[in-house]
Amino acid sequence: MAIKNKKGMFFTFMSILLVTALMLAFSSDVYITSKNRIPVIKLRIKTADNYLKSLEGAYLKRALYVSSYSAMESLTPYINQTTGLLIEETELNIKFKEAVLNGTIDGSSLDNMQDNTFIYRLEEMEEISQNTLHIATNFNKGYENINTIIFQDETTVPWQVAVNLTLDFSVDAEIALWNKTDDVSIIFSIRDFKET
Amino acid sequence: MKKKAYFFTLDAFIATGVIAIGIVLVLFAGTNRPYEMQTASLSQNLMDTVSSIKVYEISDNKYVYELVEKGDITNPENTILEQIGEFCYRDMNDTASNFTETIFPGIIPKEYNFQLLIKDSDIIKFNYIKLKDIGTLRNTSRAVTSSKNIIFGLSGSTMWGPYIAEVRTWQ
Repeated sequence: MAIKNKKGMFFTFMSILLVTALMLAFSSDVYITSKNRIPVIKLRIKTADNYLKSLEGAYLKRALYVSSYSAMESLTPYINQTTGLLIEETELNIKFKEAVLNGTIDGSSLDNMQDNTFIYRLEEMEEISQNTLHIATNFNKGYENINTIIFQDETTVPWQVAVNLTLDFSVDAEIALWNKTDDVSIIFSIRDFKET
Repeated sequence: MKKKAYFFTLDAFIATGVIAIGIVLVLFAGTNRPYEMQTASLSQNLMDTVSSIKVYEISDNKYVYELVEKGDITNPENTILEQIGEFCYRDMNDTASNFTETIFPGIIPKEYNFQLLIKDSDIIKFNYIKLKDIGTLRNTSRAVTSSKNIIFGLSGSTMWGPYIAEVRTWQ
């Protein structure tokens, strides 16, 4: 039996095609996932960068200041009571480093260095940065890997001492990684130390 | 016979139009979303602001000036957030609240609610909430964002912190 209405079939077929095209046009959504993620990545890197600046610019200095101040406060009476004046600068630096990092002198614990050592401050920051910002901070806390020196020079006025400390650490924000070696310098006054 | 084809085709076009309108209505019906990006940006921007502006930069404020004169603010180089943290460390929570009340309304849009939390590990040392005039409780809002920062400072020869500062904003 011949198909009589070929034009009708043609128009109907065109209509079906049109409907299909319209349905495809409204249903096909192209998701550009990387574009959606860009603001999140930017924010993450900004947070990590701000954290690093705060760590280098303030935290390490303040931690060194406080631990050095307390260490020196403890070292002074110790020297007076035990060995007398330390003649060699090297010996002073050895004892000072032990007090600042470990809170001990010749293996004996110092009361005012409890939870106040430089190493303790580093461990605190490692923990809080991981728990709060999900940024992994790793300080190279090995005793031999941290160099400290206490001295006086033309930058220190009378009754002031300077401390330099060199420290390696890394900051890993998962999408960005920083490996740093920092020289931390502070100056503090010993004028208010108690006479012993 | 030709007339039948025309009718069928016309019917198909009408049907197409009805289907298209239906699809448009279905797809665009549920697009009433809260302003998530704006709220998220506000939270981060607020945190950046209070973490960078120093106390001496706002010392023309009468209350801040009084605090400096009284000696409650010992280091004008502190940032706003550090200063609040120091007040918490020194158990001056009322001063911290008044300080926050004075500074923050000027930098938060009136359409937003906000909360400032300062925590020492899991212990909340400071909790300040500011609701807009017809405020929405945070737990009923559809878009709540927060930004966190770590704060610390010196008080004399003692170091306080690190504390966790968190700013939450919602509509």
